[in-house]
Amino acid sequence: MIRRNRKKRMHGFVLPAPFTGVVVAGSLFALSYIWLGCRCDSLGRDIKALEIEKSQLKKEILNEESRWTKMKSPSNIEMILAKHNIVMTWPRQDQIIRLSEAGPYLSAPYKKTDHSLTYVKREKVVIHD
Amino acid sequence: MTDQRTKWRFVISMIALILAMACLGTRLAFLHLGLKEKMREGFEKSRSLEKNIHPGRGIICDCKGEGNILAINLFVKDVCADPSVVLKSNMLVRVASLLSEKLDLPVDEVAVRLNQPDKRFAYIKRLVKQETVTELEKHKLAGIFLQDTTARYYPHGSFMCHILGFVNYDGVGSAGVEQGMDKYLKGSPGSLETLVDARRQELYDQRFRYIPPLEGANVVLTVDQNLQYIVEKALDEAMVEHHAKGAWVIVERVRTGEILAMASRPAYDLNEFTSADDNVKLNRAIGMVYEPGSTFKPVTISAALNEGTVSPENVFDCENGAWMYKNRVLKDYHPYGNLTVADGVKKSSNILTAKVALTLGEKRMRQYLCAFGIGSKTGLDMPGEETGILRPLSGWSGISATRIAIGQGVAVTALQMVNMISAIANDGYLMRPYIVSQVLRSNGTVLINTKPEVLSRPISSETAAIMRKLLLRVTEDGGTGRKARVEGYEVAGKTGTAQKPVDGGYSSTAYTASFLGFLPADDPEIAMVIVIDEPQPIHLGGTVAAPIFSKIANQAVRCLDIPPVRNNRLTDRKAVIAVSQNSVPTRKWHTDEEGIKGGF
Repeated sequence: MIRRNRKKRMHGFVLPAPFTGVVVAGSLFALSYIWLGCRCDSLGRDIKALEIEKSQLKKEILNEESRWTKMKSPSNIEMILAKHNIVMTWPRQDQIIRLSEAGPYLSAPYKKTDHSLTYVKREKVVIHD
Repeated sequence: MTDQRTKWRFVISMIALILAMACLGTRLAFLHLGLKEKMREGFEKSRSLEKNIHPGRGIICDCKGEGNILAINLFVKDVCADPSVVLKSNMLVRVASLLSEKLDLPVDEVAVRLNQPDKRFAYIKRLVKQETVTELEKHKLAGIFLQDTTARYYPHGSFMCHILGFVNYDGVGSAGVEQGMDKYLKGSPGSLETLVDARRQELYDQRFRYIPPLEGANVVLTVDQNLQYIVEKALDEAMVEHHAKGAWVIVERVRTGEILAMASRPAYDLNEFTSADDNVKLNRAIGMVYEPGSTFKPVTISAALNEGTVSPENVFDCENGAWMYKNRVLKDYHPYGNLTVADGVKKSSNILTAKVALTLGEKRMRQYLCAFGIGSKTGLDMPGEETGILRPLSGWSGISATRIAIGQGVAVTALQMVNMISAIANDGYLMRPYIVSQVLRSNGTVLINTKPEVLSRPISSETAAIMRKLLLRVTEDGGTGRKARVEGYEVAGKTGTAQKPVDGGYSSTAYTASFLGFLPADDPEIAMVIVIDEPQPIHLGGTVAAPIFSKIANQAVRCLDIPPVRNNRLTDRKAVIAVSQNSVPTRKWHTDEEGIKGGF
């Protein structure tokens, strides 16, 4: 009787290799799925939080714009000027320097041009009735 | 022995696991398949959320763009209550007094709203600002909660009220630009269909459907905020000074038809539009017709000049102030003998203008009136414009031509008048007035970009040039419009003092004082109409309206940077006319059966 090779003899219960492979692969797949799901959840929460923050900032921008618009309205500026006893006047024409492509030039002092017509009365009278 | 044990352990574990999985599977199948349809739907409904996402309404700003916002959407809160909860907590009196104090409401009114045991919902106050509700939130009142909402807000209150209009509680534009541009301003709603967690918070990764809302487009007006302020301030002062019933002004850029300012008095606060009555809400500048009186004379004179039936130097007998025509007397304010047409315009002679109208004939006269836009809407891109009254030729009596020529028996809007004078200032080209410059999406996409558009050309450039010179004389010494002068500029215009029609006749106490003009006279840039309704005690256009013109124009030329002389302005005008002539007119003039012939 030939003695069995004790070195190659298997001790205890050994899972079959294909089964182990399937279990390990399945486990890895499941873990990956769970991990990806968790990441999606986490990203979703982050996006949602950012969306809420964006909407909140939008609200604040609109409120601030509204306040700013009110502050720089002509009536408000005039009121503040009056409060500080500041009187503002429009510049005269000769105080204005206009910039053009040809270079700056001073507004010419106003001269009244004679555009008015002088009509001579004629003898011919138009009668219509 | 050990192997056997291990093997058994493994088998038992597997069996236990399979059994557990089978139980879970059965339970799962039972939950998904075994329940009644209604119960399943109930569960699904409790986990899902469907809602419409309302878009933000676009802003309205002046010609400078988003720097000067005139109407904006604010995020505010509705303060709501669950009356049954409030009553159960036996805190009605405390809650009512606190709400009354914080929301500035009468205590009894709040108490009535809360004292409804059968109701689960009631509004306490709508559209409350965040600052106010922050204080309220600190008290953590049982049965009181807040709802997010948006409200249209007008930062300047009554400023530009008739131009902007308002939005009702349903978010629909109900007057002015808000109404006219509603389809662009309101945007389109989006929708969201998603699963929610136990706290009804959206699970972002479980969204089935998300259609983002299309935000409302922004509207840019042609109106200049600073000029508008100058105009409104002048009108407010005029209302007080002249004890007037109403007053309105339009400032138009003659080359393009852009409305630079438009104001009407009385005015109302746009944020409190519900408390204003319809009479106050009326935009008189476009929605109220009046008999123009002498400011209408330029139409008659320019028509006759254009037809060649008269020339400026022709002399007419002004009958010493009273002229009997077809058994009806027509009077002048001051008696005159012989006057040239030019002097007749300067002195505003009714008799001379009536005689000039007769040289023209009824038919041609009416054709010119139509060509100048009298009796039809100008096509302004804003609702509420009136047509005015210009009767058909069949409705004219024997003296109609003589009366219409001086602005009686015809009713116009201030917009028609300023458009008419702009045509004279603009080499005879009648432009379509417009108040909306651009409509833009927030990403910059241009939806509307309004271009100047020529409606008709009632008179030639030669006639327009003569008319400009004739109207310039009105503000010279001896003219009726001396008080309309602006230092450093030549002003052309016409005064008007019209008796108001009452019960088939004319009132001897109620007048409409007006001034219609443009400047600089040699190369016009802006045209303006001032109308003061029933000024007291002085009622003359030259005394009441002309100084207001001067006051506004004096600041407008600086505000708009209009130099007294600018060589390139003529070139600019020609360029604008060349562009606008190529544009396709959106409307045609309604004229007599023969239509407008050559020469118009």
